[in-house]
Amino acid sequence: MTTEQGASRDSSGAQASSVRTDRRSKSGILDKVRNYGSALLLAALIVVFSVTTSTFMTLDNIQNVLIQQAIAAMMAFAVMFPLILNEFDLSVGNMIGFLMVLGASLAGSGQGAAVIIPVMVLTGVLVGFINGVLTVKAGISSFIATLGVGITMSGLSQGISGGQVLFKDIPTQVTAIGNNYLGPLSIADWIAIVGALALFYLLELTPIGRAWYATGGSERVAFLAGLRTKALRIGAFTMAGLFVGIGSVIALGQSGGANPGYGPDLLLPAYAAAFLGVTTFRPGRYNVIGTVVGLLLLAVGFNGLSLLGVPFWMQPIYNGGVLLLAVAIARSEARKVRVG
Amino acid sequence: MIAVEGLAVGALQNCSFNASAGEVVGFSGLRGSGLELLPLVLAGDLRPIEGRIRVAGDVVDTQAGPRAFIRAGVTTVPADRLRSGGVGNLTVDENVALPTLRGYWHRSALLQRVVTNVIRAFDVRPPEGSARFGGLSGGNQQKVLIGKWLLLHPRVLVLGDPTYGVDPGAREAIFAAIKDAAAHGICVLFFSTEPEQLVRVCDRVLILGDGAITKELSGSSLKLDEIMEWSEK
Repeated sequence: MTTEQGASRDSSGAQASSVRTDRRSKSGILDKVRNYGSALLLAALIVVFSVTTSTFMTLDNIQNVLIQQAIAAMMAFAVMFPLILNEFDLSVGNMIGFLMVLGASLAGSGQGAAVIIPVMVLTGVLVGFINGVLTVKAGISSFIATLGVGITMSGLSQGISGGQVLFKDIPTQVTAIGNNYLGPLSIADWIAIVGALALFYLLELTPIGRAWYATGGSERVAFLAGLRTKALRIGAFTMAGLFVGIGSVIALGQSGGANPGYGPDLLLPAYAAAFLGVTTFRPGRYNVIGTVVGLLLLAVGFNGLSLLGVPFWMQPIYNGGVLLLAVAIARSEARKVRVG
Repeated sequence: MIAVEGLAVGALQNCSFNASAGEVVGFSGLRGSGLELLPLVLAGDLRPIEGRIRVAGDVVDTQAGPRAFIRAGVTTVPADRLRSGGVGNLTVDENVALPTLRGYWHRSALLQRVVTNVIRAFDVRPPEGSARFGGLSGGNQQKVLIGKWLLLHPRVLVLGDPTYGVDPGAREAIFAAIKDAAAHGICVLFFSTEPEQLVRVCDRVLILGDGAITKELSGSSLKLDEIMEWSEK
């Protein structure tokens, strides 16, 4: 670069760029409002429910809403990984049910928490790894591979449990994780918060997080830049398994037992929260802050509505409605993120 | 600096050439001559069936993918900018950092500084690292990508048709960057479908025909009509 060229360009561009800056700062405010639209909606819901109901803004109710969200949070965090890589993991619902049955059956055969918890988490990691290998190495579409793995696990759950709810001898350490409080928050929520912080650090601030987003953006560009894209993709499915594994321990603790039919109902709300997240904080990208806002939007909305007296069957209707809304918003908002 | 011997894959047949540090070597040829394949091989994207590539004396593992070439100091700005060059939905920062992510771990200030330098050196518009790469014009995208690979201080910079779909201002910036890189001792391999550009910036032009180098033009014989004539043969 010769300095002469640079100088002449600078002077000619100075006026134009100052004009452009003006315009940008205005659209910048608009962008900010739009980037935090879901957060603003959440704040609005909180204000409305605080005013219209006497019970919403009470410690009991807030604790109640939050403790119910711990499992949903782990599930939503789990599905974010494949989504960032433009993949789907449909097995997470059946996986959490299977891991709970596995843990409960180990408890029934006399194993303690020191065995049960690691086995549940590591089995989740292993199943996630299998999902990744089937998708990346065997080249099966993740949609089909994870559907197959999920159906297989639902069979295993029925087989291990004999179709019965297993609740015998669940260790007290496990039920404590699900139900006990540490300060103002439940242990389950503390785990979810630590999970969210770890995930934020991993995705936003580490090389592997950036590599995941780049591989999701263009696997070819990432490959040509020297990244190990296959390992990154398998790793993403494995991380999904890890979060489902942690979620399964919380779930087993909260319910105090394992129902072999449990799990599939958690799949769609997890995706709904992740899709909602695309509209917040980093528009067009699956991100942790957005996902947390999405989770709370789902939870607060439903909680407030039920306090106002809407019937129980409104929950799936509310979840479904918000999912559709999220997809519609994400489609118009994010040019390149595929959501459905 | 780089020595290619007996390369064969697809249309490429026994293709051999050498290029030295600080040299700008152009490549020309008709479609089907292997001209499009050579940059892919040099990026580690296309694995040759036969042949050897040495960089600064060391043999590059041509079967090990892009990582081996990048490690050997060979970086490629691919011809297919939109699919292979940059990630459209990431920012300029993130695209620039992509080949050296670990180098910027916990050093976002360093990344900002480096990206600012690239933006200034190439006069990238808008001059913001946080701009979405896909929202940039073709010329600005290409400037960012050349900056991204030059930041690795490569021994060899391979440019696959770098001025395709690029505005005249950006084209001049790219030419200036090529000359600047060569002046710093980088060996530049410049693939172009426009012979006029080769005449302007290259020290030497190699003509590919039927998969091998059929003619070398340099000095007084490096003229537009010579390139045209030999390319058609």
